[in-house]
Amino acid sequence: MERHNETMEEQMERMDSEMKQVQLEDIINLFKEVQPLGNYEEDTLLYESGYVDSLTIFGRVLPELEKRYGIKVEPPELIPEHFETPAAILKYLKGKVAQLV
Amino acid sequence: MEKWNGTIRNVLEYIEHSAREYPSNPAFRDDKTQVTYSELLQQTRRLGYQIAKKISGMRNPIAVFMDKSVECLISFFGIAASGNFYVCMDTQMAPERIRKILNSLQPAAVLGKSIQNEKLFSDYLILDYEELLAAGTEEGKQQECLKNIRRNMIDADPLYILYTSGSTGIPKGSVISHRSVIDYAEWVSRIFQFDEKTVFGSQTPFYFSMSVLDIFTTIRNGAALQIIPKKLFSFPVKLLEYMKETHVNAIYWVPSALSIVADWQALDYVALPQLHTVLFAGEVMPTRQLNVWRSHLPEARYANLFGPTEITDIGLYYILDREFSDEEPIPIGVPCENIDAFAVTEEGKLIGKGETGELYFRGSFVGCGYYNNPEKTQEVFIQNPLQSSYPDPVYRTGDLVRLNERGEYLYQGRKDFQIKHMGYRIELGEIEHAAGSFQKLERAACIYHTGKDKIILIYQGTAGKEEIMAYLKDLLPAYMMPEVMVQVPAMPLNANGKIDRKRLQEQYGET
Repeated sequence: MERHNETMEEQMERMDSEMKQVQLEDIINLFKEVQPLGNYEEDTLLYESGYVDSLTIFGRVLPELEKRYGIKVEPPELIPEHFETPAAILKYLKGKVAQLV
Repeated sequence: MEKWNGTIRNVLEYIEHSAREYPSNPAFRDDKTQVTYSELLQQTRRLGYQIAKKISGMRNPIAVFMDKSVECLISFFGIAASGNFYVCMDTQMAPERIRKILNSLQPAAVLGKSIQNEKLFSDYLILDYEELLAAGTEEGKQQECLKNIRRNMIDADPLYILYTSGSTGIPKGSVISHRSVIDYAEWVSRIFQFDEKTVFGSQTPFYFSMSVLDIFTTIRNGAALQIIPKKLFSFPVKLLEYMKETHVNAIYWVPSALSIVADWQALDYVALPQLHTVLFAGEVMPTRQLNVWRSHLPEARYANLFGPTEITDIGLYYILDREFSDEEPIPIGVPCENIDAFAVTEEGKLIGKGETGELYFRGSFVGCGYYNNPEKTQEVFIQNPLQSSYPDPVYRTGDLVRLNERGEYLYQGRKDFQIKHMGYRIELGEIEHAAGSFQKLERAACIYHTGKDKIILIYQGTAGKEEIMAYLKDLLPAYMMPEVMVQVPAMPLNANGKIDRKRLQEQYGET
């Protein structure tokens, strides 16, 4: 309610910075959304789970992450160390987002 | 190339030949292990003898429940040596679908690793891969037994069964003989000049017909088959590095796998000068992505292959011999040697240039029909529609093709509700059938959005999306799961009271 006095611009800015605070929960929720059958924890090995494959990653997850955090994943960054578990993705994204500032 | 004296009757002759010529060459390699040709022959025989001791008679189906691995391949050949035929199961498949397949198959045994306590297989004899190989050797007896089996086999005997989606909810198992596979492997080897230096980078699952090319061309030529870990297809640059390290020089992949590499510019980061052959099939290859490959590897040979599981692997092929703009479709080409491919119009007349018709195949690649399914077999394994003077079996594909001015076939789509998704052949009816069995759904219809390559389930009922997904996952493999769900208050019906698919397709399929 106290946000009533915000100008449109301020509001956009605030939402923008809120969005860019990468949370583990958001990553887990994204996987739940694109592949609701799997169980995802911080350390779930996504590719061994049987629910995540290249189509999930390229078709749904990466485009959403790029859009949501305003980043561009470069081909050499697309390695298991960055994308093997939700925790790994979190760490990678935090690094990417920090570079933006 | 013509190293065979006389006729090959059994694919095991390929292994025997390669074990003589190239005993220490690696035949199959995966992440964990590799086998040379002499080891492959030895293990094939040992396995074959142990299986034969446990199963009475010959020509029985044996299901193989193993992840894609070197051991899985050795199991196939062990089963062939025992005088039986193998049925490779997808270990990730929904349990209900496995049950359906086993029910229709009634396998003499299920072969796997540590599956003794698996409830799904409790009605069947279970063979443990490691136990079979660890059994004491009885050289003399083994030789005698295997010789006897071979003497009683002919080239028309089944080598394997591959299951594909069926519209009634029951998958169909294509029976393929040694003869079909041998003739196919001979043709492939000749046309693409594969030899003992060839290293295949295997992408497709062994329960998918494209893997037949990799496996049998490998053993025919004393070549090597390198299993590429599935996970790498999510990491394009790593994938190419892996291919470089393992000296892969020939690939036969589904277009989606080739497209990932192209879309992520992976070829800008890793050069693959050794890769001389790039083959693809299973779905339409997008020309734009193919052009990315061609510009990076202009010296490599590219070919589009086309055919259904029912005719071993493919019956039409097109070797790229000219440039294509990004918008131009790649032809599916011309018939393989000693294969007749023809297309007829609705009126039953052979098509001419510029015309469209349904595609038929005739020749030794054509399989034996569907296992334990005479009704479905009679629908598509039929008498040649162009003549009735003598029995002349042909396979009716249900694919529509057009003949261009150069005399090449172009793929136009399906006649029925079958689709191609992620390289898999899927009957939309099977998905509808599964969804329709859910109590909370009153009606369900499945359509396919060609442009977006998405399976859409449209339903009338009270169930939520997650509930439906949870229900379907026990019935369908992952690649058949609907990707978009649309709840409608009332399903549109046509004049006959049937679901109006045309309207659904217009409304949801082409936007």
